[in-house]
Amino acid sequence: MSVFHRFANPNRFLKLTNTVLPWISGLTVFSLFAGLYMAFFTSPADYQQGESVRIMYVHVPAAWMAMFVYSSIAFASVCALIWRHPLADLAAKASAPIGAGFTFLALATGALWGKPMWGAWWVWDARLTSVLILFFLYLGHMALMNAFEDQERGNRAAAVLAIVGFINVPIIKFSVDWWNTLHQPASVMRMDGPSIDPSMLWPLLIMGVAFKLFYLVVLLIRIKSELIEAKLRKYRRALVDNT
Amino acid sequence: MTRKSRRIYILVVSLTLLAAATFLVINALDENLSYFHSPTDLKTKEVTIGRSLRLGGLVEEGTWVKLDGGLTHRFSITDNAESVEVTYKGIMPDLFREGQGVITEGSLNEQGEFIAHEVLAKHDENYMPAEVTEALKASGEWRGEEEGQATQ
Amino acid sequence: MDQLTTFFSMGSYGAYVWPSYLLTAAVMLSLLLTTLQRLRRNQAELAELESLKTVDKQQELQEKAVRS
Repeated sequence: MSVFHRFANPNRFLKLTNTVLPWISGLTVFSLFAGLYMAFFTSPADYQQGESVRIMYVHVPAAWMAMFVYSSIAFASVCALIWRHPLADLAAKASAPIGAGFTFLALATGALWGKPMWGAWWVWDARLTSVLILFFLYLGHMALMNAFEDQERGNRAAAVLAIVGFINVPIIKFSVDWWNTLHQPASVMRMDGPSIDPSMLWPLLIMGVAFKLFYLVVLLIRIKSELIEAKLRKYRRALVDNT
Repeated sequence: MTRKSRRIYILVVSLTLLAAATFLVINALDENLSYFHSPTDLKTKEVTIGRSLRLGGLVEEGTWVKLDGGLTHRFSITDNAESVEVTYKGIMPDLFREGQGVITEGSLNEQGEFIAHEVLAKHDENYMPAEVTEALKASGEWRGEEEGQATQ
Repeated sequence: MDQLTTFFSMGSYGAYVWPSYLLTAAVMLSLLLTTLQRLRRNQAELAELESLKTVDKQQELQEKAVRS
């Protein structure tokens, strides 16, 4: 945990953030445009789904992020509850709206893909339902964080919810293997290797990297913002005490 | 025990209990969590005639017939063990084709036929350009259909 | 021109493909913009408070100097 301790110091964190942020932002823009170019111009139409397969390049990375951000929140919550890191709560708080946004995108683009391919915007199968539950978990986390007068209590309640709700992440991942679902099984992260042609896998992976970098950029800015807010609260309190 | 290790202990114990509880609940609900029944389920289990349910499987090759100028469709759904004949009146989704996965919602009638009022096409986990499938078919290495069946 | 129409029609799936991308762009951009807006606002407020603090200190020093 020594690495976390080192970065848990807010001043050191701010200094590090300010140096890496321009680089990560540049990489995000680059990979996003490379991924989009490949998604529209170099990748072929699918043998079954035709051009509609291009929805995959936003739908799948958004769904990956929905689960990745939630896992990050659960991990930060464990750190916050056990080691009481000053930055862990902030990281969880800053992540939740981003994760909720990606989960919404996974659901919405999934509907836009499901209508022409399956013939339905929405079905109540195990995969779709468990992702909808994930979306509600994000909303609940955001609500709990702000539900208490005492920020400390809100943080703790939200952390417990995040950890308990983590049980939903493996359920989402394996729902397509455990039960009969309308959603097809995994194509990329599977035991016997991807079942996607390389011409489609590469743009998908690059978009996946771009989305991860985007999360990192927005997360770092949000934590920075939270740290400034903490300082502002301290100043305001000092002003009130002086007068 | 320090306060930190007590917190770890509480967390580990409660997470283990939670995982066990979730496992039990999911196990108990197993039947209900599946979105559709297979043709074998329909043949081996007691199914009330007229009760609404979902039937899923592969559209059997060579069984898709259009009646009434394309409005009514008849086809068989198979899981390679049993097959059930389905009648559906309506518009088919774009992905509906023989050999592909499909989920229908409807009910069994007295003749053992499945009357569907909704048809959803299921697609498999394989993605590739059309040229690749042609090349695979030409070289006799096409396994798309078998893989589709394995997922059912 | 023909090529452009083919591209935008997306093999007749344009009505599903383009909204997917537009929605993604809208959600990601609004996440980024609201985040940046909040940072700017906080930074501005911090700068203001900090300048106030230094002004207070200067006044204190001046008052002390006058008194002595």
